[in-house]
Amino acid sequence: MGVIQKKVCLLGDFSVGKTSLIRRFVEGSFDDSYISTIGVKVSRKRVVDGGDEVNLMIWDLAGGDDFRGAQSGYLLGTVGALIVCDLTRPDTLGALWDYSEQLRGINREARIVFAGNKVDLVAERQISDSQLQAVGDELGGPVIYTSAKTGDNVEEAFFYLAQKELVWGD
Amino acid sequence: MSDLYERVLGKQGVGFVICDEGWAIERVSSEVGQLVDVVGESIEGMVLTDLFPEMFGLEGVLAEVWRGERAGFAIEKVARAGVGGGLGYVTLGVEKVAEGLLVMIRDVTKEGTLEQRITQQRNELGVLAQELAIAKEKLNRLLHQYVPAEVARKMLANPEAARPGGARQEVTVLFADLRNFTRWAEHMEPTVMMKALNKKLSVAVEIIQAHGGILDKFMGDAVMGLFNAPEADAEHALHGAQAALALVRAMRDDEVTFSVGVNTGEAFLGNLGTEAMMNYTAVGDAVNQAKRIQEMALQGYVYIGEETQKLLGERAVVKSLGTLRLRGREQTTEVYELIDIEERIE
Repeated sequence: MGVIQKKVCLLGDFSVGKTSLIRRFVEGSFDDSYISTIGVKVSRKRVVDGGDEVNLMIWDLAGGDDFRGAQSGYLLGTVGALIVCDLTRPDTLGALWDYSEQLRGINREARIVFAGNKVDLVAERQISDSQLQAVGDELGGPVIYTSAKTGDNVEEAFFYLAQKELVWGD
Repeated sequence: MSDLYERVLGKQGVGFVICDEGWAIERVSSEVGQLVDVVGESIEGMVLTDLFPEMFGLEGVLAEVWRGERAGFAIEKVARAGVGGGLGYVTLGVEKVAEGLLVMIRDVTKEGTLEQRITQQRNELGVLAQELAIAKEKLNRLLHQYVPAEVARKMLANPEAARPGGARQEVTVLFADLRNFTRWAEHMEPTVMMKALNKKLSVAVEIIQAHGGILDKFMGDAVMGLFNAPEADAEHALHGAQAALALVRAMRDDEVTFSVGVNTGEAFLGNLGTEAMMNYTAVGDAVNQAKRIQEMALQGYVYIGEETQKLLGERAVVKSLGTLRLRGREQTTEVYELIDIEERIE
C-alpha cells in the first residue's frame, strides 16, 4: 500500500466557513465562533482511496481581497480545491468565478468542487440550488451542499478531492 | 559560513535550516527549536516538506531557486502551533546559498496577531453589511406588498414623509365592486373562492396601475384606486375613466364582473392613522361620492360623476343618467354612464 500526498486548497470569500469545514473534516469538531484566517494554515489528514493511502495537505487560505490576486503563487502544486460559498450570503456566489479562474490559471487540470456551505441554515438561505448548479455547470465542477456544523457532506467533498479518478456521481 | 548565518540571522531572531538538493535538512540553527513545534524528533535529516508541509507542492519552485532561476520566494504568515501549543505565525523565506538551500524562519506572531484582529473586525463588518443589505431587501419587498410602489419609494426616499398628516388635493377616485360575488361564491370551497377573488382583484389592480393609478385599498370584493397621487398626473380624470372602462371590458364575458364608479374632486390626501400604524389614502366628499356612484352602477357598467365628465369633455362618449341625489347626501349631482373613451394612454 503506497502513500500518496496531495495538496488541496479551500478557497472562497471571508466567513464562508472554510476553516470550519477543515476542522470538521480533520478534527471532527465544530465551533460556532468566527475567527478570521490570515495567511496560510496547512492541516494534514490521511484517507484511504481504494488500496492507497492519501495524505491530504489541506491549505486554509485567507478569503476575500487578502487572497485574490496577491497570493496565487500559494496555489502552485494544488491538485484540487473546494471552492466555497455561504448559502446565506448571495455576495459570496460571484466570487466562485474569481477563485476558479485563479486556480485554473495555475493548474488547468485541478479538480474543483463547488461547495454551498451552511446548508443547515434553511430559513436564512439566499442562494438556490439552481443558482449554484448553474455556476458548477459553467465552471465545470460538481456542486455539493455542506454543513460544517452538522457535518453534512463534508467527508464526501474532501474524499472527492482525494480520489485518483473522477468517479463523482457514480 | 553557516556560523555567519547563525550570528547574523540569530541576532535578528531568525532561525534557519540548510537543505541539500534532495531537500534533506543538513543544518539547523539553534532558534528553530523555538519557532517550530517538533517534539522528540531530530530536525537534522528530516525532509524539508515534513518540517514545513507548506513547502509541499512547491518543489518545482524550490528547484528553480536551487538552479538560480528564481531569486527566492516567501510564504507569509504561516499559522503554526508554536512551542507550548499556542498559535503563532512564521514567515518562511527561501534563498540559494553556497552551502545549499537556505530556509529562513521569522517569528511574525506579533504582526500576525495584530493583522488577524484587524481582519476579524473588517470581515465581521463585511458580513454585517451583507446581512443588512439582505434584511433591507426583504423589508423593501414586504413594504411593496403592502404599500403602492410609488408611495413606498417616496417614503424610503424621505422617511419624514411617513407621518400622519397630508394635504388637500384634487384626485380622481375609482371604486370597483364585484357585483353578486358573494352569492356566486357561496357554494365554493374557501380556498377556491379566495383564488377566484384574488384573480379578479389582480386584474383590477393591474389595470389601475397600467393607467398610472395606485391601489388605495382592497375592501372585501371591491377595490379603490386613486389617480393624481402620490405622483401628479395632469390627466388623472382621463386615466381614471380609461382604467374603469378597460376593467369592465376585460371581464365583459365573465359571469361575475365589476360595477365601477369614478369621481373627481378635492380630497384630503396623505397618511391616515397613528405613528404606529397608518395608511396612505384619500378621504373626503369626492371619495364618498365615488363610492355612492359605484353603488348605483349595474354590473359591467361605469358611472362617472359630474366633475370627471367635465374634465373628459369631448374625449368621452357618455349618457346622462340625470341629476340624482346620492345616498346619504343632501345635494344632488349629475351622474353619467361612460360608454366610450379616447383609448390612448398618456
